[in-house]
Amino acid sequence: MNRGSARAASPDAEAEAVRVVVRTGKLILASGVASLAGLIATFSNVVAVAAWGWQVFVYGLLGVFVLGDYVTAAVAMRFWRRYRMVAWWLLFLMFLLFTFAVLATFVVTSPQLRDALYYSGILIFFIGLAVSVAEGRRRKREEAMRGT
Amino acid sequence: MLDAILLVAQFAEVFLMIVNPVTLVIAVAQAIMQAVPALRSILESVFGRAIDTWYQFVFAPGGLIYSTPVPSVPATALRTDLMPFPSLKAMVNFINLGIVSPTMQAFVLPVLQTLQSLFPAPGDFISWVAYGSAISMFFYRFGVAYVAGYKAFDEYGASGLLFGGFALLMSTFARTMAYDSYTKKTFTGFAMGFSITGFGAFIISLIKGKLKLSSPVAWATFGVFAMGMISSALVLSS
Repeated sequence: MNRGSARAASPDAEAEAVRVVVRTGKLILASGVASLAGLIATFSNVVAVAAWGWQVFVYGLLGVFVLGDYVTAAVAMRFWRRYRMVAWWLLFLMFLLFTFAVLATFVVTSPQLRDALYYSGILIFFIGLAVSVAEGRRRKREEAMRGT
Repeated sequence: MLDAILLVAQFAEVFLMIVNPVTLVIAVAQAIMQAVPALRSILESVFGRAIDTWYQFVFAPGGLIYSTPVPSVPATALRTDLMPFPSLKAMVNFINLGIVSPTMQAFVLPVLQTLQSLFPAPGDFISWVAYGSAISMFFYRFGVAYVAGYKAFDEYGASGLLFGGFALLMSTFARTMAYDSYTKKTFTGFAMGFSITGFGAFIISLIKGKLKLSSPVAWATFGVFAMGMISSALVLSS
């Protein structure tokens, strides 16, 4: 929470966070594309290619979520330090739950655990979104009050 | 034409606002119950057979895809599995368990029997329930795509959300309408493709400065991207 501090929104913090997202985002995209290529390879009639494609798909997907966790953790920390934004930590928690859901799917192979983690992640996502909107409105209100 | 599309989109938005939280709560409850069988046992020991009704009632509307059978419900004149919609199935369960009063039954039973005669017996996977779930999920996803796509695109240029919405739509198709692994993988491939494209558009929007990372739209883009990706994985692993 901002605790009513009159800290002005710094474009530096935003720019710094964007730099992290863009830099790691390219890796996430590469991992995602590799994962998709692996999925396409599973259509092959050659068993070896299909099996190899499945492995690429699994690890590619895992890569997407591990990198996603890194991005959200890094950005959450920056936003927390600057604005005390709870929403970003909730987003991080969502990604963490999704990562565990992927692990539960492919490593533990537990459908129940997978569903529980996935749906918990979605729930956290919507809570985070609501908190984000509330934080944004409060910040705007504070800025407007300072302006008058 | 555009007005008509926007009108439909407005309805979808309202639908999304109503359905979304309900679906989520039910889905989470369902997941917790599935993950912790002990919790179900405890509830059963406290509430007895009524838990079956509750279980069906809670899971049927939102857990359309994972609808749970209720084996202990006695066979009566009305068969739960022939009911076309989950809410009706729940109502039949209430009647079967004697929760609905005789006066109410006298009023409700003819209506339900008429409804039952109107719809064909499912017999296989392609049942009315499956269609109902697919249609409702379609509108739900369409709502996501609308809010994500139209509004975000209009105000922020975040077309990533539009693609993310499509990704969720495709993964829904994969989950509800795929009858073989080939179709399932094809839809999943589409879902992943849209999801990746959406994330790419999100990155481009950030680079171009059209999207602020601290805005809820950026939040939503990121979340929808993740959901599209993981939905794909879940479809393939189910």
